[in-house]
Amino acid sequence: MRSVSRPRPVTRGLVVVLGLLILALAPACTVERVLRPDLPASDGTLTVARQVSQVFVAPGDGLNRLSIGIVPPNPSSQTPLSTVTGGATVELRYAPQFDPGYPDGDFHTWPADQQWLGELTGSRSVGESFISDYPNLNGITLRVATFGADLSPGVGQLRSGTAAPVLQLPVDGPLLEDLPGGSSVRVDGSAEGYAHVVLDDGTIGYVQLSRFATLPKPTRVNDHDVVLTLYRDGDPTPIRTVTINARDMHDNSHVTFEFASIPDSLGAAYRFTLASSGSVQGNAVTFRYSPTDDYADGTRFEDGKPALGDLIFRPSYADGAALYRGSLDSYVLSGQTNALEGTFHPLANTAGRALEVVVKPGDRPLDVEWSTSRPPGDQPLMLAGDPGASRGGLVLNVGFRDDLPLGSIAGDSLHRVGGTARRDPLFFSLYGLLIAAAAAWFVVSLGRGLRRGR
Amino acid sequence: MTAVELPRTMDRVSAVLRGAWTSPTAPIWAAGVLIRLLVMPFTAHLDLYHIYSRAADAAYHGQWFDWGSQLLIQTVHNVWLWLIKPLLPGAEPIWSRTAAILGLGAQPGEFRVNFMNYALLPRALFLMKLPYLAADLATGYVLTRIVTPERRRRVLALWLLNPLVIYTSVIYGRHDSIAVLAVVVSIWAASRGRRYAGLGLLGLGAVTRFFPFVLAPFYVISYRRSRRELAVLAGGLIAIWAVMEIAVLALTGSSPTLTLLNRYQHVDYLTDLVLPFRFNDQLFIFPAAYALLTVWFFDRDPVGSCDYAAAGSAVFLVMFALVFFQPAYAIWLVPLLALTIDRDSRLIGYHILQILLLGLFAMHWGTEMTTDLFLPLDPRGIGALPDPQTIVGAQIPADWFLGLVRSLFTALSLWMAYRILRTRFGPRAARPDPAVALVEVVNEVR
Repeated sequence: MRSVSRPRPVTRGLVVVLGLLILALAPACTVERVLRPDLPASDGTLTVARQVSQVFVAPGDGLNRLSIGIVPPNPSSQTPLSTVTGGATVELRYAPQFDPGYPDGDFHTWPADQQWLGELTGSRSVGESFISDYPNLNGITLRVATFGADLSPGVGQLRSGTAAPVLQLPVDGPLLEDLPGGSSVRVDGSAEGYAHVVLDDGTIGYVQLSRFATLPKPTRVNDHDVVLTLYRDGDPTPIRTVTINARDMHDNSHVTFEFASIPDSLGAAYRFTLASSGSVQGNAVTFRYSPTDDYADGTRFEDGKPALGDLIFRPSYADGAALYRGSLDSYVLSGQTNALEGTFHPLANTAGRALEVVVKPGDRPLDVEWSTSRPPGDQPLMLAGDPGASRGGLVLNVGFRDDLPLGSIAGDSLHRVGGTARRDPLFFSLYGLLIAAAAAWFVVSLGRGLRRGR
Repeated sequence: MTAVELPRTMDRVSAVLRGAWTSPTAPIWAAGVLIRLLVMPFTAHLDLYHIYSRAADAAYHGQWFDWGSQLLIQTVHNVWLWLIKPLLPGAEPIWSRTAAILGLGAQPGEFRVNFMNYALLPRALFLMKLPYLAADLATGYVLTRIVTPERRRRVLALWLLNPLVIYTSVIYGRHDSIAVLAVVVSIWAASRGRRYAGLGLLGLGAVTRFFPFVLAPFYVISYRRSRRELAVLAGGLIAIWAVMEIAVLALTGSSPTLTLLNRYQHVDYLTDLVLPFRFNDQLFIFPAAYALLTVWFFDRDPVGSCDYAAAGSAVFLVMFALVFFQPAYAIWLVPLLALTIDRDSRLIGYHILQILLLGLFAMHWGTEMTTDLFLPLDPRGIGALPDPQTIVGAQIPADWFLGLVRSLFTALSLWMAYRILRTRFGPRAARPDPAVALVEVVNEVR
C-alpha cells in the first residue's frame, strides 16, 4: 500500500503564515463594492436641458465613484468626449425626504395597521426619540387628524372665476378634470388641506380647500396650541420649541413643526414631545402612531414613559452643501459600459442614507441614458421642467470603498452564541461534549494513522 | 436474542468500536462528523425553514397531507418535527403561516423575525438537520461497502469531506442527502444481485427528489440480464410511478406529476437552454443530450455497477453543465463521481476545480446562498454584509464574471463526463489493423 506523504515543514509553515495573515487582516478588511452588480441596460435616452437627478439609498460608507450612462460620441468621428459633456457638472447631495428608515413612509399611504393616539388634551404628552441621520435638522413632520375640523359632509361652493382642478390624490395627484368656478360639488371629508369631492358622475377626487367660497360647517373647532419640544436625547433642556395652533392643522394631513436648523444634527440622538395643555375632549387633535415597534432607532413615549410602538414621524432638513461636486469633462468614458466614470475621495456618512445625484448640463444639452430598472430606494429619475418624464431610473452606478467589520461581526457572533448558551445550557453542554468527542476521535485516529504511515 | 447470539453481537460492536479508532477511514469519519457538528447549529437557509414550517402544519395542527407535492420527503420532515417537538418548547409561533401556500411559501420576514429570534435557535437548527447528518453518514458508509477495501478511503473522503455535500446538508440545510442515500443503497443492493430492490430504492429516491429520475433508464439498462428482464424492470419503474401517482391522487386529489410539470420552475430549468429554429420550432439542448447519452449507453451493452456509476456520473455532469441550477443541488454530482473518479487524480483535480467554480457561482444568488446562510450567528451584522455580487461588480461587471464562471464550469463538467465515459467504455471496437485489413482485401480479390 502506498504511503501518504506528510506535509513538508515549509508547506506547513506557509499554511500557518497564511492563516495568521488572514486572521490579522480580516478584521480590518477594506472592500470596494458598487450599488448594483451591473450598470443597468439602457431603455432609452433623455435630453437634459436644465437638470436631471436620481435618488438612491447608499448601502455603505465611503462613496467614491460614480458611473453615469450617457450617449457617447460616435467612435468613428474622432470627436472628443468634451463635445458631449460640454462642461456638465455632477453633484451628490443628501436627500432625507426620501429616507426609507423613518416611520412616515409613502406620503399618500395610510396603512391600516397604524392608529390614532386619541385626543391630545390636558397634561398628556406624547413623544419619540430618534437618530438624525442627516445634518441641518429643521423640523419634525407628523400625521394629524382634527376630527372633522375642516368641514362636515355636504355641498361646497367653489369660488367664482377661475376653474378649480380636481386631483386624483391631494397635493400632487394627477389632474382628473377642472370644475368651473362658482359651481357646487358634494364634499364628504378632507385630507392634506384638500376637500374630498364626489362629482356628479361618481368620480372621486380632491380640490384644494382654499378654492371653496363656502363649505359645510366643520364638525368641531380646535383652537388650542400644540407645542413640540425638541431635546438632545438624555438632556432635559429643550433646544427647540415650536407652537402651532390646532386651527392651522388640517384633518388627515401631514403637519411639519419647523424650527431653526441644527447644523450638527448628523448622527445625533434627539427626543421630541407633543403637548396641548389647553385642549379638552372635543377641542383637540390627535397624531398617528404604529402599535408595533417599526423604528429600531427610537422609542415612543407616553407622558415621559417608554411605550410600545412608534409615532409616525419624519425629520425634515434644510438644504446643505453638496457632498461632492465634479465636472463631467474630467470623467472617463468606459469602453465596456459606455458610462462616464469618475472617482473621488471617499465620502463618510453615506451608509443607509438617501442620496441624490444631480447632473446639470453645461453649455449644451446633455443626452443621458435611462432604464426601467431603478436603483435601491426605488425612486424615479426627476427631470427638471418635465414632471412627465420617464418613471424609470438613470443608468447609474455608485462605488464605495469601505471597511468590512468582520472583527465586530465575529465578536458579536461569539457574544450571541454565548448568550444562547446561557439560555440553553443543556443543549450546549451536550453539544460541547459531542464536539470534544469528535475532535478527540479525529486527533487520535489521525495520530494512529500517521504513526502507521498511512 | 439467544445466549449464543449475544456474545457474537458484543464482539461485533467491540470490533466496530475498535475500528472507529484504528480503521484507515477513521480520521475521515471523525473529520466529517466534526465539521458537520461545528456548523449545524449556526447556519440555515430559508428552504430549511420552509420545509419545517410545512411540517409544523402536521406536527402542531394535525394537517399531515396538506402539501401534495414532494409528499414523501415532506412526510419524513412531518414525522421528525412531531418527534422533536417536545424538545423545542415554545416553538409553535416560530413557523411560517404561509409555507404551505403554493406560490407564496415561507416569507423571509418570518424567517428573520420569528425564527431567528427563537430563544433555542441553535438547538432547533441542530435537531432539524440531524436527519441530514444521519443521511450523510449512512451514505458514506454504504459507499464504502460498494467498493473494494483499498478504495474506501478516497471514496469516503470524496463524499464525506466534500464541500458540496457539507454545504448542502449542514450549512444550507437541504434534505437532498436523504434521496442520495436511497440512490446509493439502490446501487449497493443491485451490486449484490438485489436488482428489483435496488430499482425500488431508486424509485424511492426519485419520488423524494427529482434528480434520481434521470438515472432510471441507465439503471434498467445496466442491470438487465435479458430483453425480457429489461421490459420487467422498465415496467417496474412505471409501476412505482403509477402507485405513487394514484396514492397521492387519492390522498390529496391532485396529480403529483402534473403538479410537477405545470407548476414547478425546476422543470423549466431542464429546457432553459434552447436553440430556436424558424416558426417557433426549437431544440432543447439538455433533453437532446440526455436522449443521446441514453441511446449511446444502450448501444454499448453495459453491465453492472461500474458501468452504471460511470454513466450516472456522466449524466449528472452533463445535466449540471447544460441546465440552470442552484449551488445546493450540486450535491447530486458527488455520490456517483465518488464511485468513479477515486482512482484518477486528474479527475479529482478537475472536481476540486468544479467545487471552486461552484463556490464563485453561488454569488449569482447574492447574499442568499452565501453570507445569509450564517445569519443565525449574528443576524444584524451578517445581514448588513455587502452582496458579494456588488464586490465583484466593483471590479468587473458581475454578469460577465458569473457568466465566465458558469462557462468554465460547463466546459469542465462536459470534459469530465467525456473522460469518464472514454475511460470506462473505450472506443466501440478496435479499428482493424491495416496489415490485417490489407490481407482480407487481397483474399477477397482472389
